Amino acid sequence: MQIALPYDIESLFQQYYRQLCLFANNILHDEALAEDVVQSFFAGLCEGRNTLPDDENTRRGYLFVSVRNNCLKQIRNEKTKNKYVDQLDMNMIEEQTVMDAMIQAEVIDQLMEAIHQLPQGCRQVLHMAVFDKLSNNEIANNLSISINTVKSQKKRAIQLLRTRLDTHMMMLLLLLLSE
Amino acid sequence: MKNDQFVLVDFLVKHFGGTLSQTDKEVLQKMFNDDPSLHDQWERYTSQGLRSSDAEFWDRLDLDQARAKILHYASAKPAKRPLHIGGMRQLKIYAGLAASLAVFIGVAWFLNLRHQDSQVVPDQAYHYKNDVLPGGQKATLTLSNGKVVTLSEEQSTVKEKNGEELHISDGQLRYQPNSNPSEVANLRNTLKVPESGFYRMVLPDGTKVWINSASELSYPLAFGKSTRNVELRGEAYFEVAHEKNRPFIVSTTHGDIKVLGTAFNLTAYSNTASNVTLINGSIQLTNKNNTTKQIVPGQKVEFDGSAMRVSQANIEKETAWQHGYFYFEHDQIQDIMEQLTRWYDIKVIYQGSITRKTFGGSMSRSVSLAEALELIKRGAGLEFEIDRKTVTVKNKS
Repeated sequence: MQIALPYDIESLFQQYYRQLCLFANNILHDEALAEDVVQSFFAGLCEGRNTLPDDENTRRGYLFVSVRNNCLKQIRNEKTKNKYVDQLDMNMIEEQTVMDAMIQAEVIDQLMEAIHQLPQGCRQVLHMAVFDKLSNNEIANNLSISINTVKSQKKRAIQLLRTRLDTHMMMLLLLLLSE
Repeated sequence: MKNDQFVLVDFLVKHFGGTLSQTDKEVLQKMFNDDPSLHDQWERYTSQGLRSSDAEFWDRLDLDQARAKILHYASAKPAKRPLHIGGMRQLKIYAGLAASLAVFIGVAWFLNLRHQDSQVVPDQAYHYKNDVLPGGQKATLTLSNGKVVTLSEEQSTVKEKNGEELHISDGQLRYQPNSNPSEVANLRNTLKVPESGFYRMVLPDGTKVWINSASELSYPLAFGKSTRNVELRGEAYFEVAHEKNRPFIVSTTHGDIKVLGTAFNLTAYSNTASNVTLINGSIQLTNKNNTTKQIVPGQKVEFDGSAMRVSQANIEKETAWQHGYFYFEHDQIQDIMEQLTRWYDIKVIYQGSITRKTFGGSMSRSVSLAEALELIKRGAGLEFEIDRKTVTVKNKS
């Protein structure tokens, strides 16, 4: 059986869960803890303990700020408990660092989402090129396929990605190219 | 928080995905000129690169497991405001009920609308009266005896006179080289693509043709000994099979295009000037005035019955439709709507005076009308209304 969250939260969850986990992990450098923080936050939403802003942008800001605060709370708890000073950067509190973590999370999430919609062969090749930064030669060796196959899969993947990503971009380009 | 940094996100995604286009780069440059701090940020993000550990973490995240845990947490924690608990539960049940009712009504409405026009569907995400689905592969074929056959995507065979068989596979119509060309040379077929459709086919000589919405192509079942003649009304992209001694000639209302073997995009609707863009090879254009012009790859000729104008083409723009997306560049709203009109088979009404600014950008042709309008609306400062298949464009009030 498929589990679903209350209907207004389910869509938020689908849209933001992965991003928020990546973001929390950027702050906490602990994947399990990051997931835990984000899950507790969503649990709070399910209980209706917090009301969400209507406006899309404010809502996104609210989600990230809440998760950041919960992460920092975690860090403080850990510190008083264990009295250790660790690599958990206190400079996370700086706006720019939080901003960077948000942007990074969003970039990875969008890219992974798009890559996941590619056909299997293209996906593997592109994943290796983008994330493992392998050359065409290395990818060919790794997958035991010819370098020409790598090239054509990569080309196809990029063409498919372009179509998907461009849907996203439309609004921006319209904004920016208006004369 | 400074939100303008978020404009970088989409560009970063494209940068890392390797799909940053020339237009994107120009836009970025423009943004950096306006706000040099964005440039520093861009440099910082791109030099950091992506961590493969993040990708692995993303891959490992299990949404169903997360849902189960969230529900578990939610029920385990004592509620902070016990007074509201009953209310909330009930609300949730009502909400659930309302949601399934909405789905039910939606389905009923959908079925009802389908009956009249399968392209008109309820708007699921925005605030429009209804939504319109994008076009797709559709066409009809008029056989030599005048009979009209609807071509579907499914594999099938259509029988012509003399036992000639036409095959449809992979969603395209294929003509085989004829065993006895002289017998079928006088038989003509016409492929018609309606508004909001497109179709691909292979002619008997192996030439591949992509036919766009509201277009028709007619051709003989076998080409003659000295030339290969077809007629086009509308837009098509040709990849002509090379034959040195038998030129391929496309006739349009405004003139003829003669080629040996090449790829080109031809737009020849009768109500506006025609244009042809050459991708590779060479073509010779003769208009109704008998003026002749030859162009090289990357060039575009605009022509009507009397005049011709050669310019440098943006090949990405001219062939975007064939790759499944819209591409706008220095286009006014009317030009953009013109393209949507053909693809969604809609009527457009302009209310008041509409901005004469020009816009650029691209988007997939698989989005619904409401999605497309939402994207355009935000950038262009316009408002849209959809009523069945009529779109009203007006300035933001």
